[in-house]
Amino acid sequence: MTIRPGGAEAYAGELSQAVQDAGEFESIFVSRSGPPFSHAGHEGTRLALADRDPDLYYFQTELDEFDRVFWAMADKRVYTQDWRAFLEAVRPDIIHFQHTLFLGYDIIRETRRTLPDAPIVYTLHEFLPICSHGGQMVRTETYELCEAASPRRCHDCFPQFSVQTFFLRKRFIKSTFDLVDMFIAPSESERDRYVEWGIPSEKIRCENYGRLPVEPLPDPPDAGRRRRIGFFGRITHTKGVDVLLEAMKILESEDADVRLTLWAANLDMQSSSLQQRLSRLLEETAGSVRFAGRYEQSELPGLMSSVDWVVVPSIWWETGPLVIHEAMMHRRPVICSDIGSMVERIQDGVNGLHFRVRDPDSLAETIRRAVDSPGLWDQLRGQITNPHSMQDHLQVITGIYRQLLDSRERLAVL
Amino acid sequence: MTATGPADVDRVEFASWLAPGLLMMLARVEPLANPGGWRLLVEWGEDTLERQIRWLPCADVGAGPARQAWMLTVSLPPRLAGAPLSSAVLRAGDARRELAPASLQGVLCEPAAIGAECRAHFDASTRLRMQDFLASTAVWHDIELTPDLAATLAALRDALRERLPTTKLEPGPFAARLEEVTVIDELGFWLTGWIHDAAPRHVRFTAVSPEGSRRELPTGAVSFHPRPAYAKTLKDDASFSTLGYHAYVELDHPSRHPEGWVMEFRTTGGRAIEHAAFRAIRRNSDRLRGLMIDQLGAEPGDEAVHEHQMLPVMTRLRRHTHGARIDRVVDLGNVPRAPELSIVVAARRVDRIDHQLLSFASDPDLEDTELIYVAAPKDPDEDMVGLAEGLYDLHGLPFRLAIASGPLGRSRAFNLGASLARGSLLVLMGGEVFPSAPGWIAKLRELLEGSASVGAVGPRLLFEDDSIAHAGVAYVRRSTGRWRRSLPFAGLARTMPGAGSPRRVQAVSAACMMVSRELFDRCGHFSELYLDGGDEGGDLCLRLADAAEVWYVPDAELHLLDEDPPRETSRGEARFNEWLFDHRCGDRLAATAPDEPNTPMPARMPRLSAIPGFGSGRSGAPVESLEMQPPQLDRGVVLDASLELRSAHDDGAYTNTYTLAIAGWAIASEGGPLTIEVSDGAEVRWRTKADMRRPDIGAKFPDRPAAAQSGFQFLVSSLSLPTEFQLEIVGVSASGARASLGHVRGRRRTLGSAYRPRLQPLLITTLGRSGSAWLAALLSLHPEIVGLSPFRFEAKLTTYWMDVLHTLAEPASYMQTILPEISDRDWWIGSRQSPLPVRLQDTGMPRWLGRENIEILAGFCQSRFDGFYQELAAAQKRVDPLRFVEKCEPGPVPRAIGELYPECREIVLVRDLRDMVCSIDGYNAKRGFKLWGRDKAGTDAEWFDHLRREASKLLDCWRLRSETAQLVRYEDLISEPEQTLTAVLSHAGVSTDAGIARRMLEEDASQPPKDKRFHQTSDSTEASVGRWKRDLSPDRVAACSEAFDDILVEFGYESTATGDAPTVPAFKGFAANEASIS
Repeated sequence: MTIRPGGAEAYAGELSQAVQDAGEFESIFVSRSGPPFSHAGHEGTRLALADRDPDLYYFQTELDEFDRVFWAMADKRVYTQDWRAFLEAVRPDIIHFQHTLFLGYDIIRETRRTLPDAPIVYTLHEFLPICSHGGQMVRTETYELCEAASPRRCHDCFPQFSVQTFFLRKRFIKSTFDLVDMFIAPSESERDRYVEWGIPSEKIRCENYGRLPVEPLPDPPDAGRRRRIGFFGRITHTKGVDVLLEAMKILESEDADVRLTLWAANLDMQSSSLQQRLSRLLEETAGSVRFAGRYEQSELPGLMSSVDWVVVPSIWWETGPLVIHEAMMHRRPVICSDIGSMVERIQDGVNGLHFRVRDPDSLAETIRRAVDSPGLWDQLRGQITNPHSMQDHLQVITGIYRQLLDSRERLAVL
Repeated sequence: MTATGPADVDRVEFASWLAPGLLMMLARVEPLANPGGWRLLVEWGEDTLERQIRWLPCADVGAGPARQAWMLTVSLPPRLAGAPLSSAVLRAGDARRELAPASLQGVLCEPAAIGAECRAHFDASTRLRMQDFLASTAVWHDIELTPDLAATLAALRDALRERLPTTKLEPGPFAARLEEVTVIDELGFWLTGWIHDAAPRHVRFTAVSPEGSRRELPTGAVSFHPRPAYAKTLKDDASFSTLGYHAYVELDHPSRHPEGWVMEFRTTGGRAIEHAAFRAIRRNSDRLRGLMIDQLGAEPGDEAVHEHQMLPVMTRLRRHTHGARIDRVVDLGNVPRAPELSIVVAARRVDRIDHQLLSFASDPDLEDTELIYVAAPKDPDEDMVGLAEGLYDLHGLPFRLAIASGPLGRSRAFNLGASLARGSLLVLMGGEVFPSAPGWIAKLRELLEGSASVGAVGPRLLFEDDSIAHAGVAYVRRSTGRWRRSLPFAGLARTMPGAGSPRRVQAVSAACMMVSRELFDRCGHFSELYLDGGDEGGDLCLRLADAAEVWYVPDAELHLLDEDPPRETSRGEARFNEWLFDHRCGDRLAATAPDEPNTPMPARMPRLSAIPGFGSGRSGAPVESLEMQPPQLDRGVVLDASLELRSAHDDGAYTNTYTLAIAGWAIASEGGPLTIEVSDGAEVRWRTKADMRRPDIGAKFPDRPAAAQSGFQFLVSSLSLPTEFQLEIVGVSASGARASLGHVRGRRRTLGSAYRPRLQPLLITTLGRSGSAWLAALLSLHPEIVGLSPFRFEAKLTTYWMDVLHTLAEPASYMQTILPEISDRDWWIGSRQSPLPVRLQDTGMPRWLGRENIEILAGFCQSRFDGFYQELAAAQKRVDPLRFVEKCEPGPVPRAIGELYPECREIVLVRDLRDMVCSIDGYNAKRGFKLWGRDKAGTDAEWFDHLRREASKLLDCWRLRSETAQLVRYEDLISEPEQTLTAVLSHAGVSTDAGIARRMLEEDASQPPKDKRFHQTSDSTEASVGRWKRDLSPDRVAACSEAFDDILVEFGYESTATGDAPTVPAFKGFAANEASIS
């Protein structure tokens, strides 16, 4: 529910539209607006309509009120007056949260208080409730994978916050999560992580993302070697772009004839150290790597058709990732890290290839194998199944809505 | 004095108004015998007033013997201040003395003039007394010390004072300054300056208030600190040093004047100097606090300073508007008006309130509870009310916000909050304490309200990693004699055994405690004298302990987070707090420090079955042999004998255990060793031979070789004896002749365990053939009672495990674990050939085996009942059983169960013994055996004797445990089943809702009769009543009558003869005489 480029946000919009189109439920989509992104809202209200669409709202919050550790607004009137007024006016039967960033978890509490009978669903796109480091469960200094959170470990990652702070944080988040009726996690590994953290197993379901079907453009002409690789997404510390560029550097030094295009946004929003590092690597690999910058979602089919392989070198667990969905929809075999939800979507040697996470040598070797093995591309491509369609996904989601509404009614009758 | 008139007349020389209501006079008067008896009559215009006078005799330099100089003060109505004075007369009763001159107007002057005169004519010591006299005059006359009066007194003081030399600020042998005076209140002052001397700490300080009060300061009221700048200027060296000083001055009479303080300094060598403060008095209590805390840091260990400086100043500061006040109270939502419980939270960090509220809001115990937050804003812009509104809107839990201003320490916050609280029960907690789950309040209340002797309780507090933060507080004496606060189990895992049971403690943490409001008020609230980081919680608990007990309740659990940011306490503050704690609480701690960590249970615990600590934790010896009656020996059988009891003060291996030790020696008159029998009056309990080596006795009887082998000992478990017992020791010769060796009276503690049972027992104590199987079956139909189907099985877990316990409690058994004699398969039960050694080097483990281990075994046995019956209840789909039902025989088993389970309920089921006889005969005939003792008895008479003994035991059961045992007659159960059953259910403490007894009876009637049939010997239940009249022959009837009639009557039956109740003879069993043992 934020307006910035990113897979989860695109998915949320698609889902809302699909729910609306299916007719059984009316879907009202609320996006959080405010710094650091666009500003919406008017004097005296936090609400604004997006493009005059009565089903598409913006809800404005300010950053300076927002506690980034607890995800709480100091001034509770955001919830108790503004959000409450919205809920009382609209009176939704179900509330489905995709996100609470810059809103705060207390929005769940307020929702439950104002609409005690309305089921609350929450889709967990990443590990933000568990992990203060961008919800990625990698450690701050080293970007190593983190297997389990604890107040002491979190304090090690963020020494400026005490162990007790993290103790209170988990307690606080869980107290709001107790009010949620159903959680949705897009991958099994993510679901398992949350169950271990403390969400009761019966309250969290695994349901993969569904995407709207796209017409795949015809395959690129067989130019012999399938040597064109694409990266699609945002640049952050954990997307592994540096690992990819290091691998390209190795491949260039071996005169491997491989071409990589980076369609990547947000380089300018990253830390200066990362920007410098990537800029340097881009210079060193200028022979084989082209940095193409941002792309629009609508351009994706065309861009996909210009590459043979899609690489997802994330160094964090990933919970979708939606780029893999998109690659599968366009019948592009994926080369990805061997962890998390990536290995749930892509089976090594079946519909794509794995390499050892964070290891440029392993990635370079995998790319080389991909490019140089005749027939491999066709074989893998042939085994790519249709990703979970929005149609099927919608059935599951609305099924969840129906089930929750039914059980509420039953409780009311008792 | 210059005489202005005849020298032989009583006259007033000078008079002056010190203040509009206060007249001072210098008079010369013929010596008065009793000056206090004289009153002054003054005439003013038409007014004549009589007033009491205050007198000071003065030694006059130039006075003659005929007259004595006096300084007088008298209070008069202020309106007369401007009026012309006429005359003054002294009057005492009828006596009068005129004072010249006739008009006092002429001698009226300014106070300064009198001062000058006094200076001229009176010596220094008289003038010193005058200063003191004047300084106290306002108080004496009970008039206000106005600024003007103070100024006047100050001027007079200056006139009257003998000044000491002052010194210049230059290196020299002795110099001093009084730099600053800070006022605390009108009696307490803080003086600062420096002193330069060979021994500055030995200088005596005398403070002089502007009005003239003098105070020589005790050691400790003056503290010292370095003054490097002055040290340099005055060129400190090895001989002379400069120190700054702080002095606390406490006056007897108030001082108001803003300037004029003087400090006089006297060395031991006799030099004296003074200095007057050159700055006006300051009023700045915050600065003062800061100064004092710095001072503590400079000389942290000086206890005299703590007592004579810190403590009085802190006390005064606290008394006089220092400390926070509540500015306003805001109620959010509908706060309960008449709550039972009030929770007061001292919130240091307002952002943490949110985290507490999210727990409170989901806790049902907080409905109808008044929740009060006491907080002070950190900066003036902080919008606490807005924040509170937001929190109330979000969580929906009503609470009160008390906004305070001023330095708000935790004690002050608690005391302020408590003053607002409306509940009769208080919970005081810090803002950094967070409940783990709902229910902690109920658990605390259960223990606090469950016993009249408990006054305060505290929960288990955990750190965020679930290690223990607080599990009670104990105080340990250091080698210096000071008390150190110790936190047992701190930092250890919460599952540590000792931290899991409720126990009485010396104190609980003020971070969270529950106390009755009345007790809190009575004991004086939290002390506010401590500086930051003091042990006010312990201080309060130790005061509470004068009136009530303080308990630790581990089932109530909360998390305690470290203070964030952490509180900084300087070393000096810490030392003062330690000293203050010792000063206030040291004597109490010394008087009450327990020797053991565990203390006895409070007087009454009706609802809680928990027994504290390890084992039963009760103090005192488990077994005490009180008395032995020396025997009148029958010399025909026993030549000589003596009984020796182990006393409780022996430090043998069996001291302080449940083992009873009786030893002695006995020499037979003829032949072989005697057999020694110990009987309890009904039967022989233990038997041994008197053949142990006794060389000492051999030496006593050199002509009797048997004497050297005449010793005997009994090391037996006292658990199978009643709690008050009397034993007879009998010697039996080889030929069977018996002689008493003496009686032992003793008592033992009831056996308790630390086990907390889930199910309570319901025992049917019976002799059998009394319908007990039917009653057990019936009772197990009740939803809250679980029992094993009694017609197929016979559940005897209670008998089984109590027998196991009693067997393992015998030293013959438990000592096999460390001094084994493994002869056969049953060696562990205790079959030994050789006697157990009594004297052991190492007594620790034997004692543990004989005491704690037995209590733990008892708990284990209890756990077996729960284990079995809970499993059975689950199989029977019982939801929440309260009791399990079993039959047992009268004797040690129901007694032991009764001791372990204070909540046990017993049904003493009795049947007409004559019908029982018929029933037993019938059953034996049916099954082909001879049970119920029939097999052992030769004749009917012997059998009836046996039955009589058994019936006596049953009667004893009922009599001894009349509070928990209910007598039920089989006949009543047959004739009035519903009524009888309801009475039984009611006694058992289970639900007796309408019709439940009837439904049980109906269900029982509908059960297949096959199982029951096996038990039955009559054609019908009704036919089983009174069957003796049909089935017994007249001979047997007569025999029964002789054997049972008295017991029958006790049980409420008609005697065999025509309904007359025979007189009830005394009973033979010793057990029945327990009531007479006091």
